[in-house]
Formats: sequence, C-alpha cells, structure tokens
Amino acid sequence: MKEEKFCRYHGQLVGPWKEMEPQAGKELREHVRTCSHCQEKLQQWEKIQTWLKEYGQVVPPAGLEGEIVARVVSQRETTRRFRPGLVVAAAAGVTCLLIFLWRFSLSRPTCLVKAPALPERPELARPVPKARLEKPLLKTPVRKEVKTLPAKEEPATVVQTESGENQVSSRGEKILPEEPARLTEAVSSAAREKIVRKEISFSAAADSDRLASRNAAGLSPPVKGEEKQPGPPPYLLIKEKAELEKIWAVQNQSQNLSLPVPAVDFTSQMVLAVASTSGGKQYRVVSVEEKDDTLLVNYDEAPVRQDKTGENLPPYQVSVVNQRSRIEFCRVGSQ
Amino acid sequence: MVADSMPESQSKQRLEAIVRSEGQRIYALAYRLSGNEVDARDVVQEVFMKVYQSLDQFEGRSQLSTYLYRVTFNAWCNLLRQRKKNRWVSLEENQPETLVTSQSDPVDAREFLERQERIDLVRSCLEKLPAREKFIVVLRDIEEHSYEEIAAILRCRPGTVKSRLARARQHLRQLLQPYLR
Repeated sequence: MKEEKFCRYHGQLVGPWKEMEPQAGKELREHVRTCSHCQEKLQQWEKIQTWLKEYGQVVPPAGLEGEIVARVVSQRETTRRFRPGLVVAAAAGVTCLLIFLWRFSLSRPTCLVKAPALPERPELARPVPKARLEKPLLKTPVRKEVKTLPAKEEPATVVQTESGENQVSSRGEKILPEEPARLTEAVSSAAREKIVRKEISFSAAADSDRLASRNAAGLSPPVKGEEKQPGPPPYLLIKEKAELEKIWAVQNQSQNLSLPVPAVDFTSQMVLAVASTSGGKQYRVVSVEEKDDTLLVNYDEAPVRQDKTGENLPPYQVSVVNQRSRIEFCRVGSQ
Repeated sequence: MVADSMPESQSKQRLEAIVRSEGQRIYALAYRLSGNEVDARDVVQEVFMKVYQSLDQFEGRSQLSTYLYRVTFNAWCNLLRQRKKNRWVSLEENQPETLVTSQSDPVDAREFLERQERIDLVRSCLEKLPAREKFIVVLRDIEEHSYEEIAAILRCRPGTVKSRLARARQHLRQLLQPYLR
C-alpha cells in the first residue's frame, strides 16, 4: 500500500500508455521497469484489453441486411395503418361524452320519478255512475277502542315540490332533493321506499283540472273555503307479493288482528294502498275507477281531530285493482 | 417524414444502401451494447426505422456513421428503460456463443469453454457500468474509435471523453479485479 500511495504513475496505468503524450509515455515505461506494483497493474490492464477484444468479436448473421430492410418496411406499414392521433382523438371524444353524461345525470335527481303531463280528458267531466265503481275496497275491520299509532307505522307521505317532483317522508315532512340520505332514513323500510320510488306518479295539475271539471258537472260540491287545491293522499302501488305481505302485516299489527293476506294475481293486478292519515289530514277513499290506462281514485279528506274517539283507523286503505300505467286522484268532498 | 415527401421506392432504395454499408457495424455495436442477439436485432430495427423516417431531415452536418452511432445509443437506452419498466429478461441473453465465437478457429474444447467464461464475465461486468460509460468503453477499447469521433458521437469535447473514459476504465477494472489474479 505504501508503494501504491507514492507511485505517481499508478493512476495512469488504468489506460495503455500509447494514449499518453510521448514524453509522459517514455517516463512511464522507465518507471514500470523498476516498479513491481505498476508492472502488475499494467499486466492487469493488458489482460482486460484482451478480454474486451474477445468480447467484441461479433459475427453478424447471414442475410442481416435483407432482414433489417424487411422488418423496417413492415413496421413502417404497420405504423401507417395505426394512427395514434386518431386513437387519441377518439379517446378524448369518449371521455368528453362520459363527462357530459355524468354531469347531466348529476343535475337531475335520479331517485324520484316525475309524472308526465296528462292529456286533457273531456269524458272525465261526466258524472260517474255508481255501477262503474268496479272494485270494492278491502277495508280492514275497524276496532272500537282508541289506539295511537306508533311513529314507525305511519305511512309514507308523498310531497310534491314546486318543481313538480315527488318526495317521500314517513312523517309528512318535506324533503329537499339535495338530501337523498335523509330520504333513505325517513322511510321505515327499504322495501317500502323502493316501491314508493318506483311507482309514484301523479300530477297535481291534472288532479286540480279533474276536480274542477267534476265540480262543474255537479258530481260533488266544492270544498267550502278552500280555493287552493290540496295535494293527493300518499299511496303505495304494490306489485309484489312480498311487499303486500309487509304492508298487510303493518295493517294487522295496527289493528291487533291476524287477517290473511288477500289473494292477488300480480301478473294482471296490483294493490293500491292509500294512507289513511298524513300531515294532519285524514283521507278516505270513496271509490276507485279503472279507465283505459288510468286508475282514478276518488277520495275526500278532513283534518284529523285531536279529540277523536271511538275508532282507530288502519294506516292504509287497501284496494286490489287491475294494473294501469297511470293513477289520478280526485278529491270529491270532505268527511 | 421521408415517406411523405419522397417516393416510397426511392426511400426504400436509400434505406437499402445505408443498411448495406452500415448494417453490420450497427449490428455489432448493438450486440456489444446489449450483449445478446435478440436485443441487438431490436435495436438495429429501431435504428433503421428512425433513419427511414428521417432520411430527409439528415442534413449532412455530421457523418452518417456518427449519426447512426448516436441513434443506436439512444435506441439502446430506450431498450434499457423498457426493460427496467417491464422487468423481463430475454431467454437468449446468455447464449452468445453462436455469434461471438468464430467457428472456423481451431480451438479445443477447454480453451473454448475458458473463452466463453471470460466473455460472460466481461459481459456481466459491462452490464454493471452506467450506459454512457459502457458506450465509451465499447467505442474506444473495442471498436478503437478516436477521441474526436467519440466526442462527435456524444456531442461533447474530447477532454470530456478522456475523463469519462478514465472513469469507466477505473470502474471496469474494479469490477474485474477479483478475476485478474
């Protein structure tokens, strides 16, 4: 180590001395003759040089030139067919479309169904004969004792906002469209919520038109002192047996009865369950008419009396009706 | 792009001429850099693809061979980057004898095996060098280019080439040190 430390030619022996300046090369050669350490280093470097030459011997494969030209030309044609610019443009277009659809879907509440505007129906202005009340109501027997319904059994309420969107709450409170989580919590069961979301379709405008026409026809006197049309009662349309069983269980529990579930052919029929009370009002279904593709529900309403005794209403008034695509409510009087 | 401004047949003829004159040298350089035949072929293809696309853009300010060497170095660096990303190794990487050895040499089996061991050793040590150092060692100590030529290829000064070469040799000697005694 001492020799290596003080040998000033040691670092230069990394390369062959023929690359050095003539004078420096001459001095190095003279030094190497007397320095065993530098002799060893020089021998090592010459060995490395020999090994590098061995490594560098390459015999190109036969027909290399033709193969290169063929590969390059074929790759060139492939590159021409595949245009990255077009692919990038297509990807950008698809991305923009997806973003647009996403934003569009966010701007509209997806959990609510907006009812289409109903066409004008002049024939509905005529008085409906009693014979056309096709389906009698399946009324649960009324108990005579007074009983207060628990909050969880209170039926779902349909609220129509100013924009015409239906919203649901179990306690009759208005729910803003920006609060889907609250909406979910409000309904007592997920299944009931699912039904309400899917099946609610009514139009207050059409309802008021119909009421006006029926009043004009003398079918029922207008409600005194109420110029502003109130909303229809909340209701459920049940199209599955399991959902009917749940509602029926609520009915039985409220009346402390164990009546069997009515037989319904859900292939052609459905069950209409109108809430008896909601938002401080008591609703009574007078009749249910089936017209073409519309189900017309005539009802009356009255405020719930706090000192009311002698009867305990079930949460729903249940009717089995043939399936219709629309449902309309018409208020015909007050209790 | 050559094919957009030059007739296809003409550009192909020019490409064939360049491949005929420089193809073997570029292949040898690519093989010395990559250490195996498959990667060498890929590098050569990439180099001449680049040449084919930019024949019109070659202004003649530098020699064609200098340009080709620079493109080869860049293509090899790209290959190294892809390898690092994909982390796969060519199956033919350790089969150099078909190309490195000259079958006409009358060498016996023992000497042949010893030589292969040395070649594998040098290859493995060269692979441990940084790409630029390996390129300089190959150009200077294997292909025996002058400092000026290497400086033109690397677009730097000859003095820079000398200092980098000294550093690369030192690095290589350290790697080979255990096998030199």
